Amino acid sequence: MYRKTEGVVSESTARSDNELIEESLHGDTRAFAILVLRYHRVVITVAYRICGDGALAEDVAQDTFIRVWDRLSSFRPEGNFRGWICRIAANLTVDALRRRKPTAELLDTAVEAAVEGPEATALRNERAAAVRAALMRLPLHSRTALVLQEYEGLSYQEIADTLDIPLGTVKSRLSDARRRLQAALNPYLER
Amino acid sequence: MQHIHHLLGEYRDDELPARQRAQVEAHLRCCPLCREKLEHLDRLADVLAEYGPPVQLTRPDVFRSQVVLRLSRRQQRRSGYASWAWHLIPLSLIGVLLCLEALLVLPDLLELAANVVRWMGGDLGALLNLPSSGYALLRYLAEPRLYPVLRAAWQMLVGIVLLLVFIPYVGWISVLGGFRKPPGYGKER
Repeated sequence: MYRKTEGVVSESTARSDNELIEESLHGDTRAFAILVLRYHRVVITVAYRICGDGALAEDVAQDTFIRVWDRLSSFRPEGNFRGWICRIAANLTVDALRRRKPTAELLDTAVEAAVEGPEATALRNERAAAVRAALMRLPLHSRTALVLQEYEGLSYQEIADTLDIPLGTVKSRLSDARRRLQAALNPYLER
Repeated sequence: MQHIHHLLGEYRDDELPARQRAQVEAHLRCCPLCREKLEHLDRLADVLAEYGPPVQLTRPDVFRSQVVLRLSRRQQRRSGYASWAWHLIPLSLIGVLLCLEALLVLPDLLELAANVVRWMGGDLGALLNLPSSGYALLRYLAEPRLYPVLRAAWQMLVGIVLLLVFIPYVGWISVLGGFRKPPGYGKER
């Protein structure tokens, strides 16, 4: 799984998000670079869980931070910066996937990657590959709603605002996504 | 007993109102089937939590440098556009002034010229060495009844040109102002 980065610049933990945002708003790219380091993993993870492609996730992550830089003045200090940046990442990932032709080989690559390593690791990789395949089979909007709720803990209302859909649609998409995933991942859910 | 499977997702996501949440909890205490469904959802969440991006991604410090480089390149491009665009401002001003002059001053000069043509008559044709057809055309254009129409048409044309120059000019100045400033600069939050 994703390896946590050691030795991140110590000053990145000293200042709060709001302080860094304030400095970034005055054109300080060094302050913004600290924000990039701080949320790099979060953004790539959101993008990857929606699109299932590491290279695309990185491209989207870069675009996300560029968009964040452009729209930083619209972020309210009392808001949740992590949630805000995740919403931007989710929307950009959806846009990127819409522009891109669907390819089947992504799933095949994931399955092949699972067949290697010691038994426990192989089993874990197999499960991860199965989760990935099941997620990628979900309709894009159901998958996006699920990723934002399940992994990033956004509220239903925040998801509705992000995807520009009614609250009831968020509930039905989440319910549908979970039902499909339970059916697809049933062997891994047994005790 | 009526089951509450349809509410378990919202219950688990803490999206139910307090009263409904209490009802669900009361039901769960006495319904093993719904408890099993809820545990199923919890296990699904555990399995989903294991799924994340691959290890072989760009290192965070390299990624950060790429983002900062993109930002600085973009700012340089905008500064490049802004620098040559700023040079067009004096030209645009001159264009606006010329249009104003054409609109206000030139028609009077043309009227003066038309009066000269009418006053001098055939002497003007000889003076300018015009062919007879050329002089006839000049006399026709200098006709008093024709001149107001020509004047109005000319002013309308110049007015349109002025709009096409002035409005883009103002818009350009605004855009250049945006290029020069970092995001949110000077804005109070």
